[in-house]
Order: sequence, then C-alpha cells, then structure tokens
Amino acid sequence: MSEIPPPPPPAPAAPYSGAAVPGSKNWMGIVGLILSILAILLACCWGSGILFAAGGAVLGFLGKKAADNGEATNRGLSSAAFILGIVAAALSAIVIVLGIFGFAAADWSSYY
Amino acid sequence: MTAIASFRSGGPAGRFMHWSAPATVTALVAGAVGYVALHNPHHETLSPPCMLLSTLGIYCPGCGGTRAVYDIAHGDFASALQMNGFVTLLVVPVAAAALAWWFARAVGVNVPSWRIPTWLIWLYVGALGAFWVLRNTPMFAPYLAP
Repeated sequence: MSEIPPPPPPAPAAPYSGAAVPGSKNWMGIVGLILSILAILLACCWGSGILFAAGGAVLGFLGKKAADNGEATNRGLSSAAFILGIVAAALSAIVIVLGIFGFAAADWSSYY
Repeated sequence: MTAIASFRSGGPAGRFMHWSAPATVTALVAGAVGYVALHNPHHETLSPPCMLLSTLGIYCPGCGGTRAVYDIAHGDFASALQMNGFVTLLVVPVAAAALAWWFARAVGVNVPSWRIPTWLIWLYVGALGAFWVLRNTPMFAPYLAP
C-alpha cells in the first residue's frame, strides 16, 4: 500500500522589503536637498540652520546609499544635499560662535 | 501588501495621506507669511538681532528676506526687489510653484513630472553664493543690499 505523498511545502513568501524598487527612495534626495537649501538660508538666523542642515546631510547620505543599492535614481541630488548640508552646518557653526562672542555687541534694533 | 498598494495608487486611505502632507506644509508657510504680513518688519523688530550683521557687518544672503516677504504680501514688488532680490525672484516663486505642483499631484491632477538636473542645483547654489558676495561689495550694495 503506497503512501500518499505529502503535499509539497508552500513556497516561501517573497520578502516584500527585499525587493529594491528603483526610485522608491528618491524622496530622500529631494527632501534632503530642500532641507539643505533652507539650512543655508537660515544659517544666519543665529545658526538655526544647523537643525535643517543635519536633516539634509543625513537624508543626502541615506539617499546616496539608496542610489547605490538601486532603490533611488537621483544620486546627484542626494550628493548635492549631503554636501550642501555639511556646508550649511559649517556656516551655522560660524554664526553660533559669532553669536556667543558678539552677543553683548549686538544691535537689538536691527531688522531682517 | 494591499494596504501599501492602495497607498501607492492613491486609494481612500492613501489619498488622505498624500493630501495631508502638502496641506500641512502650506498651512505652516501661510501662517508664517501671515504673521509677517501683519507685522511690518521695516519698523518692528520681529526677532533677535542678526549676529553676522552686528558682529562682522556682513549681509547674509537672507538679509532683507523678511522685509521682502512683507512687501510681496502687500504688493510692493519694487521694495521687495530692493530688500532682497534673491528671495523675491528665486525663493518665493520657486516655493510657490513647488507647493502648487505638490498639491496638484496630491489631489490627483495630472501635472507633468520633471526631473531636476543636478547642474541646475549647483547653478542655484552658485547664484546664491554670488548674491552673497556681491551684495557686500560697495559697487553692488546699492542694488543688492537691504
């Protein structure tokens, strides 16, 4: 009496996150770039641009990695976001140092 | 999987999610512009003083930007250009166009998708840098400095 063969095991489900969808992480470069440019404009405002610069540089870095993994197609934008984020952070740091040393000399009636 | 697919294709939940992001950013920007429009920055100090200007006497590329936004909100484009030409010509219109594009896309209007070339980004940043340098030179300060 022959035994009924067991049904073949179900094929393992394709891992969803494993698939690299080209362009699915393009937002990182674009958002990073917007943050970095905002950071340059805000660097003068008591160095508050440093907050945006951090976000822009991190997103630029992640976007570059995503582009290398085939998940993004805008490596140039991410690279620009990364570099500009670092530039903005440096500018902000200079303004923060100026603010620490020049606070007393500041003209409180100046306008923006 | 289906939830993500419906999010991507703009299903009921996805549509709201897409719509809420540009709406939030627009509300924040509108709030900031509205605040500036109601407080004349030509005569009122809206914020602590600029450290770069008070310590080194250098105009940063954003100097006069708040006054330019106030002037644009009040329709005085000549004064806005005088206060900060870069913000008037290359920040406010670009931001307005980008928000409009984002909004239209979010609600499902078929707007053309455009890939920003990298050289354009460097050109924009180069223009920002040139503006910064030139507005601090005696020759161009009458036109570019606030």
